Amino acid sequence: MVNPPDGMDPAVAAQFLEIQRTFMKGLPQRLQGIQQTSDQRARYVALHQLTGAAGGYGFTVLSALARDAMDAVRIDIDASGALASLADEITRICAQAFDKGAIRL
Amino acid sequence: MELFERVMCIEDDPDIRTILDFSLGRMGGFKLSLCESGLQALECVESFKPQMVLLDVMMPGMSGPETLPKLRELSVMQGVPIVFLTAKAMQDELAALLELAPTGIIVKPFDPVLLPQSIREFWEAGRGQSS
Repeated sequence: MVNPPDGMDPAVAAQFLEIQRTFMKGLPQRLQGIQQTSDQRARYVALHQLTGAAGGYGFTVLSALARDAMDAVRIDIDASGALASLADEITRICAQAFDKGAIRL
Repeated sequence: MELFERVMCIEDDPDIRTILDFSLGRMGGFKLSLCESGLQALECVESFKPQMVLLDVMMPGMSGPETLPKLRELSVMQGVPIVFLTAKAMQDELAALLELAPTGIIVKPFDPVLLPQSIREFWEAGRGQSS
């Protein structure tokens, strides 16, 4: 979880946490799609979307890792290291959210 | 003095539309038209009469760069600032977008807290220009 920005109205902050939670729940499925597709264009688009969305929800590290992977796919170099780092970060985020009870199986 | 309140967002990614809704609608107090494609935007623009358009670059079907000139042809869009939204941060990609003369470019990810102020600044700078 990423805390809402300081000074945010509590009602707005609660809504922010709710949309963040929805985003986190979808992360494993997004990762699976990125890992399993053999279509490089589809992988690029999915990483592009993840870059934008993750940052908007406050997950700056995840956004940066998605961008690294997106750039690797774009210039057609081996993206396996970048994708592994991305997977590790998603696993970490989901484990942390699960521990805090923010998401459930 | 004209009140700035109507923003059209054209974005295919539902996650980004959610963030835009939260940032500009909930936090910024703007009236929003959230469109998931350029085609949908072209259908809605006459009735919504946006005062600013945020236009995603990479969309299936009609891309942002393809949508931009079609919007500008419309009389209701004369003088309305159009700002690209993109996660493409490579200099060559940004330079190619600037050749299309948008009012500005917002690089994703954006901070949802700061976005309302950013678009107000773009609006002040870009409104009324016949680009």
